[in-house]
Amino acid sequence: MQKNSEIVLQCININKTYELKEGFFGRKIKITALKNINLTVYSKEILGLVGESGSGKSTLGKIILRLIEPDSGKIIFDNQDITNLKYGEMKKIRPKIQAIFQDPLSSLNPRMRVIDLLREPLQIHTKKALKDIDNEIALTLDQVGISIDDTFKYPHEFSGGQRQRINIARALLLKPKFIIADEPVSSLDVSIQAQILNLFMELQKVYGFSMLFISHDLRVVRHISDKIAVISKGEIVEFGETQRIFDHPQHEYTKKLISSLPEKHLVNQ
Amino acid sequence: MFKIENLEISLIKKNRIDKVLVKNVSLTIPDGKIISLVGESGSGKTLTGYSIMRILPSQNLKITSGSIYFNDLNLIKLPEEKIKELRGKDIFMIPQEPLTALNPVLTIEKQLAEIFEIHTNMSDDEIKAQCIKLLELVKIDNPIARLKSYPHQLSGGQRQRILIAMAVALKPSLIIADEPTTALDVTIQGEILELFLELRKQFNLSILLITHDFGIVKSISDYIYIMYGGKIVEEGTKEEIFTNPIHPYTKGLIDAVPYISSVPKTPLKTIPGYSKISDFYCPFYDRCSLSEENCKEEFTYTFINENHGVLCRRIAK
Repeated sequence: MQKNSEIVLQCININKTYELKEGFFGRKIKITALKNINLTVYSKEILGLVGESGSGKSTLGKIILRLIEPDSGKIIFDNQDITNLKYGEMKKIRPKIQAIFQDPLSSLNPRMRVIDLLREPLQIHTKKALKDIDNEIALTLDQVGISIDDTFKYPHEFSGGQRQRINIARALLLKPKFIIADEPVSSLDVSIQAQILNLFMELQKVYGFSMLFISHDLRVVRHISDKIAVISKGEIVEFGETQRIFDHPQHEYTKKLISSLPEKHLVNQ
Repeated sequence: MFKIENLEISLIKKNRIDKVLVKNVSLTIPDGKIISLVGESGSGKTLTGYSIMRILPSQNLKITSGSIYFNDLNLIKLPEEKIKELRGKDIFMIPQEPLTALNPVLTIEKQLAEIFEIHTNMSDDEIKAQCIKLLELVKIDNPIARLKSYPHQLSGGQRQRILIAMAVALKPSLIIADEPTTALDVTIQGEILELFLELRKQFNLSILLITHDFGIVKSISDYIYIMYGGKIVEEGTKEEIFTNPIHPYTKGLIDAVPYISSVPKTPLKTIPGYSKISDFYCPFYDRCSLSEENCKEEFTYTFINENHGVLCRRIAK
């Protein structure tokens, strides 16, 4: 077993329900988004979170980022309970938890040049001089395969793959301990997906961050993750080492997911 | 049988050809076969599919040369009224997003019935019976109640089933399905693909499947065309393409996806750069590791056997 000190993130008994109004005078109906979620991520570990649309996987990501408040439960990050931290206290934690989202274009402010987008997090969270900031940016950009000379352009002037590289660089600049990547490759072309997945695997070795990799694509999750949590209708139905999950799935839902992969599923008639 | 010959689609600006987006595309869709057209965004695969129905997404896009045959009929030369009769009846297109393809303010019954009202002389009762039959065919539970539903009351998978029901309503010769499973969850994807296979068997349908997902291509196609930068770069039976891919792009695409059998945590093979329209004869010239000076000039599309053709200078005779 891994030692307790290596735990980076812990979700304890997280519950979240949304209220929906039905009709005009509407009675309220409750929709359970997350039910008793317990999850532990160790340092330098990639945890894949797989589920279908509406399963609650993105809600969980947002709760960890404290963009949504849970109804109950605790989030422990780096041995500190961050569930009820005030804005100012949370700001100190934010550099250590970074996020990368599905659509690389809408995550970048279209009115800012890429260089300014990259400077912003360092200007907010550090007191470094602009020259040092630019040096750091150049180093990080080098890691993701973009030249700093190109960054005086606007986001729309880049291709989809390059935009996602910029988002990754932006997340890495603050040397986070933990990255939440929510469907980071699903809007990219197949040949670009592979480039970005390789980049994640390389960078994880260099920077040593932990990652929650949220995706609906089992093949991608299997390739990149050390452990996998399968989520269905707001509940984690199976959790374990990647290899074990694929070789010996226990839960019916996991079995169904694996068997519905096109390669497994159909034989041409 | 559908046959596209030397199709060229161009972007027109000020009555002049500004850019040729689809170049010299030839493909055949035999009766009862599932043909896959594979490519990434911008490859021209969707434009090629749309051109069969003569609906291109913009006024500035025109078919500038080539022919499209439906048996002996050249669809390109057909007057607009005639092609209207064919659309929906002989050729049906299932667009990518199942929610936006359905009219949100009409019930499922209205939308299904419309097809019969336009193309047949059936009575209202006959039409209703047909609608129920169709929903049963695509395995929608409780079809009589479902007829009264509006699209937003259905799940993504159910909506896609409704579209497939519309597609097979008049027993067309060809269904063009543009990324039919991309918007759906994995477990639903499998069910929809199975439905395609079943309907193909039952009606001897031809299906042109436009997709970028090699997993799906591998599981249901009979014959595959790979498009890159507006050109067909390789074609062949499923066995040929997966066991003996020749074009560097095809090889790259097949290797770039993690499969259920690949070794985890190993680097995936990548194709450097990103796709753009090339000025050279070989559309893949800029990204190819094997490219040489003479790839820029014209060479012939070569068949290495009757089931396998490729556009690559290294093979060209």
